[in-house]
Amino acid sequence: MNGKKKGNLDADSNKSASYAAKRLFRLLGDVDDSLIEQVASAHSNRHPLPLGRIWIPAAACVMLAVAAGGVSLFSGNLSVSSDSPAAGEGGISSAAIAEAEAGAQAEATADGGSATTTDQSDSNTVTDRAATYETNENETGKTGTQSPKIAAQAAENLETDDSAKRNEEEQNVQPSANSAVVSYSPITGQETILPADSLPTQDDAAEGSSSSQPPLLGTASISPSSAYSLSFTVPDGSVFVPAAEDANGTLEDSALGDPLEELLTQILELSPEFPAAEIREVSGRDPSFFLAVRLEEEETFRLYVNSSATASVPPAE
Amino acid sequence: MEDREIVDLYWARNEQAIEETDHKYGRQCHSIARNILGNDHDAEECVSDTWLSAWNAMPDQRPNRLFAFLAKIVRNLALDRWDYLHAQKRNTDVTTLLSELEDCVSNRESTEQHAEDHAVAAMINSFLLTLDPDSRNIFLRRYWYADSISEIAARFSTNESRVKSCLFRTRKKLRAALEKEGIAL
Repeated sequence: MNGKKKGNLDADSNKSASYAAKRLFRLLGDVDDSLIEQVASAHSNRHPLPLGRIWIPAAACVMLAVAAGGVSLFSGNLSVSSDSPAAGEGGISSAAIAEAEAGAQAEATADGGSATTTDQSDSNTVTDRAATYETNENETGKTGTQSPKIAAQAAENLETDDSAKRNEEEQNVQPSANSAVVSYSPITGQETILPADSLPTQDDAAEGSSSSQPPLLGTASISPSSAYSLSFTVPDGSVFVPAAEDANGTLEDSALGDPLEELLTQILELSPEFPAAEIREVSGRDPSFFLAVRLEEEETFRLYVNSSATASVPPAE
Repeated sequence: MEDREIVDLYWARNEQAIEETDHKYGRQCHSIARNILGNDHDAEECVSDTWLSAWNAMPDQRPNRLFAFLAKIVRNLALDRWDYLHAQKRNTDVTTLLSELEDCVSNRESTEQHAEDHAVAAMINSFLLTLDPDSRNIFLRRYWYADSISEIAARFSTNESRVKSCLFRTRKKLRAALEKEGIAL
């Protein structure tokens, strides 16, 4: 026993450790001058921007943008290629939906009987198949690489299963001249308003002319003409875009209604960049959804449709 | 102004030397003193004492590395001041009587200790040279410049936990190196 209590020993030990640490701290002061100066400028050798916080996220963003651009370009190529499976699928889809629409109208106007029942069941079948196709696509995640394959396969299935019925029905039931349908493009994931009278008929398909080609769906189907591809906004906030099926054609004089000069003024105020020269109603169609527009330096009118009313486009008056 | 020119001013006993030194290294010296003392007022006094010490040290000395020379002075002065301030807090009377008794103590022990300190400092220097640059820089920023963990992390663009773990490993290595050399502080 040295006469010291345990607490005193601990205190002495702590004091000794503190003294030793202080002495070591002082001795560290005698390190080589070159090391001191090297440490003083050490930070300048490092990159001022943290790698993990700045550059990695930035690189990820760039890669994502490039990938998105690639997917967009890929799907765009598929849409405009007339011999690709996707284009074929688009045409079938439009025809099938138009058929469904026509069937529904036939049901509304028919006196009854077996023909109405057949039309209704066919339209339901086509609609269900389209819905099934959409579901399948959603399940696969709509990836850029899978979508064209799925679209082609779905198009083949639809074509195989319904070709016989469609051939028969299209000869008997033509789309109403004043109805409109909303078609969905599984490739672009967008909906397009298509007046039913512009959808291809069997005769058109047989002719194979450019004007009778099925409309290309989605944004890629809009004419690349810079003026024509412009959209405009009307005072109620609705946005009118060029009708997809009218990409190569123009409205005949008989389809033109009254001029809408006041609306033209308002549109030019809202969309001054839009080169509209004249706006008219489309005969027999609701001007809330369809407008005939003549652009500057053009002599004919083109059909524009209300893109914000895709879910509830009423039939023609 | 280059360090050599500033040293020449000291040797020429030109008071502009202090002004140039303060302009070039005042902020860094103040930072070292402040890290040790914890307040700007004491740090400023330390820096002023450093310029005075440098003025008195030259022309006898002609430091090749002026910043290291000044930094060592300010670091030692700050440590002395820290000791003084903490001794005052403990017990002013005891501090006074201890300083009175220092007159009775032979200088032999301090001379031996001084030689031992040189040996330990050389050993620490060798140890630091064995470290990788990152570990060495972090260790010296912490225990030479008395930087905080967060400051070191910001300086080296890393996080605090990495700095702490690096310091922990280096301390363990230093302890092992000291024990291997038979040095007990």
